[in-house]
Amino acid sequence: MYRDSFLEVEEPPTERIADVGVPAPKRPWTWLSPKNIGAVYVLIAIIVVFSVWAPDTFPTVDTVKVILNQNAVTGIIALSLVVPLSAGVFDLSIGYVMGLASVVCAYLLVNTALPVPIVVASALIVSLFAGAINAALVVRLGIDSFIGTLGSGAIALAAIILISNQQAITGDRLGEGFADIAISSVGGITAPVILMLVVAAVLWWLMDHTATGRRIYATGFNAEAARLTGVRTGRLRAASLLSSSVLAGLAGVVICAQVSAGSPDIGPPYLLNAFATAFLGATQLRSGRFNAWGTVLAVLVLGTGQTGLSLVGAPVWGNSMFTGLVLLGALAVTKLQRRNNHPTRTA
Amino acid sequence: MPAAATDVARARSPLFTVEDASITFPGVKAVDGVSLDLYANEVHALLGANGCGKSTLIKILAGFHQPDDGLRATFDGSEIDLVATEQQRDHPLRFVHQDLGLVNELSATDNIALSLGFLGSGISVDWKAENQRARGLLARFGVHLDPRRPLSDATAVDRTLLAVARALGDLGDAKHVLVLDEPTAALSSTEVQRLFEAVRELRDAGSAVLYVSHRMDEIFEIADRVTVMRSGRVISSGPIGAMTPTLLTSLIAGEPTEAQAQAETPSRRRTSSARHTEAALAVRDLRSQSIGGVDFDVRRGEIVGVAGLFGSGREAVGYAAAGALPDASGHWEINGASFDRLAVRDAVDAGLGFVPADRVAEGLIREFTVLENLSLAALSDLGSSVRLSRRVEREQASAWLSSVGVRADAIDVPVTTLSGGNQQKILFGRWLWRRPAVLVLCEPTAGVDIGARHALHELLREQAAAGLAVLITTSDLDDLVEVCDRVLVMRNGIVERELTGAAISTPTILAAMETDSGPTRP
Repeated sequence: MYRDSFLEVEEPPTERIADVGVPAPKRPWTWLSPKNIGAVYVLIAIIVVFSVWAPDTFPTVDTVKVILNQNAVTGIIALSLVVPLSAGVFDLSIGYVMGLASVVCAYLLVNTALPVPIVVASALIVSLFAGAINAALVVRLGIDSFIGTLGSGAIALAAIILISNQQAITGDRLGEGFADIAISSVGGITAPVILMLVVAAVLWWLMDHTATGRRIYATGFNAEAARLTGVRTGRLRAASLLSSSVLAGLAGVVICAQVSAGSPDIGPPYLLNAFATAFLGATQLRSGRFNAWGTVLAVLVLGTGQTGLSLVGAPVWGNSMFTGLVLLGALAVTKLQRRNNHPTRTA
Repeated sequence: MPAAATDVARARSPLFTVEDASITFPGVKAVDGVSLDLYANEVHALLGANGCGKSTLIKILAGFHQPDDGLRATFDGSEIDLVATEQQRDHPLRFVHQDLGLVNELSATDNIALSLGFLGSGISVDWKAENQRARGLLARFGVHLDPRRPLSDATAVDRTLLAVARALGDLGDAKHVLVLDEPTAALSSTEVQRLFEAVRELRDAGSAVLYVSHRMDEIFEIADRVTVMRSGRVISSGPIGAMTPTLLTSLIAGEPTEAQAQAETPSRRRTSSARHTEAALAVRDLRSQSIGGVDFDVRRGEIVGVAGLFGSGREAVGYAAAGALPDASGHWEINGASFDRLAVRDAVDAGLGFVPADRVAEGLIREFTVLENLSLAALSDLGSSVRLSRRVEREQASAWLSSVGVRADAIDVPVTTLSGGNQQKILFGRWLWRRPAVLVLCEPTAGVDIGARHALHELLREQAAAGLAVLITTSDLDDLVEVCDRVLVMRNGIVERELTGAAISTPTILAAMETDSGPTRP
């Protein structure tokens, strides 16, 4: 009777992917069930298929490194969505914020003598500012997050074009110390991969092992019930939008170091992929809840498949086709499972 | 008085009859062998307290519920199947439900077209014809509003009349039954008169009207015959002339049940004397859209009930008291802390717990397990801010589950698999875990079976005896009679009467809710 209409517009219960988010039981055999970690089995199948198909190039250590390194940024940008999606808000500006951070990074490196840490911090602060705008639009003004972040994303794009003058910003300093962000490694694993794993670990702890994480899930599932239980739903949503912007900024810094350029059109293409992976991740491990390790798993499945496809020389459309099929397949399987064991009322 | 019309009707056979309507829900026979005859040119009132089965009966008539075997329904002499005819365009039973079912953002024309079908060819709508049809229908019911304006601009009675017009719109002069389910709940007294004029016109033109209401005064004004239901059965049926308000009230309330009789014993009222005197919740000049200045105290160990008809402001009092209504103003004192503006969060911090009316939409997190639902309010006390101790959470949750009588192995199941009663216990437990000073409950036993209802009442009494201050707003008179030390009866947004001790009985509460010169709104 007395609820805010904001969430209802955004997430009608029947349309929600996250229908019944019951954490996996503790017993190992149910944990290993395809219902819980179906993506792992898909990953194994993909590895087997490509190992047979391209036995010389696919099953090598180099391939593993390529997959990890190429997907670290995808992983970070997808992980940036875990918190806001869990809190029931969309952040469609992450691709643009990522691009903005990379352009700001490159611009400051090329046009100023500021030391690298200051440059990185500046890029992250700009991202945080974008997140603050999102939070103000969505939480303060009550604008639907889908539309609000689309609008703020367009403004971020304008800033990208303004700063870059529609050209990739390159310069010597991008190749010097700054590039270490992309290439320094521990035991063959590069910094971006470690960064992705650290981000995933932090998010996992936040969502699974703190009261805040539980309240974020409660806000996303039923904001009104959460509010009436004393949860500061607005504050959590605002914080979730700040976190996604900062993580998107981080992804922007990393991609800038990886390609040694601040390109005006490098961020936006990550947007769809990030959403696809985050939603695919929500079907894994803690079915129905957006979660960090499920998202990392989804990144690996899609990344492995795409790398395999390029190694066997598949046509260009193959990548998108593969991503689309895996995502829709996972969602369809999850829906069918839900329908089969729909919770029935018992005494 | 329509005595002449009644005599004419009496001489004929009924237009619509339903015989032996029964329906069994898990554990309860909600409607039990009900028969009803409706005559053309008559307004037939259906009365009964909340939960007597009249809404369920309406849903059976509407074909919404599949009734138990044995039901026979006839219309105009020939048998009909209520469930099968539900979808048919020529269904002779027409319903105007309490919420009217209109889309207020759309115009009258749109609303009519949505239910009667769009005019024009398959590829384009003939808006001229649409508007003409809407104007015609509205004029028939004395409604003068621009059919192209959104309904949100229209008055409540115009909307009600539009809903009636729409329900009958495609029938022309065909014989029909019009079912009006509490149509006056949201209307002022002058508006009620306009609605009654329209109803009388329909009756005189041949309608059989089934009129469901709570308001005693209206029944005597509009009805020709009256049927009273209680506990799923028809208790009495006959012409209105044979009734008096007192008789009707006692028929609706019935004899005091055994539980009520027991409740009247001094042992239950012990709280009145043993009660602490300190107010745990004090509210002054509470106002909102539907409340016009309410003051009350709830002392430690006391259970205060709020009664009132739909639209009396009763529903909003609990929300406003707990800080859940954004537009509420007033002054609150909760457990010693005072507020001039109150958000739920502040109320919770001060030691208040709030169980909202809609268990599923506002209370439970359906996607959460029993454990997660139970611990939601107590998370701050479990471990530190950077680490939630899941071990402590589980241990305490198990203890709470067994103390509220839910089996402990239910801890990891989705909360939606529990029965309504157990879900409500989880919501109670969510707050009791925090050991609050005040608990505000809205409709605490809605959709809860008899056994669980008893257990919930018992739980509340225990907690009150231990010093908890409880405020209950409810449409269920049993809640009030069984557990409350004091009952505030709301009417038109203010507390009209306060009942204590032996005065808390179904007939007195009903009388206080209903006996009124008619609603006068600010």
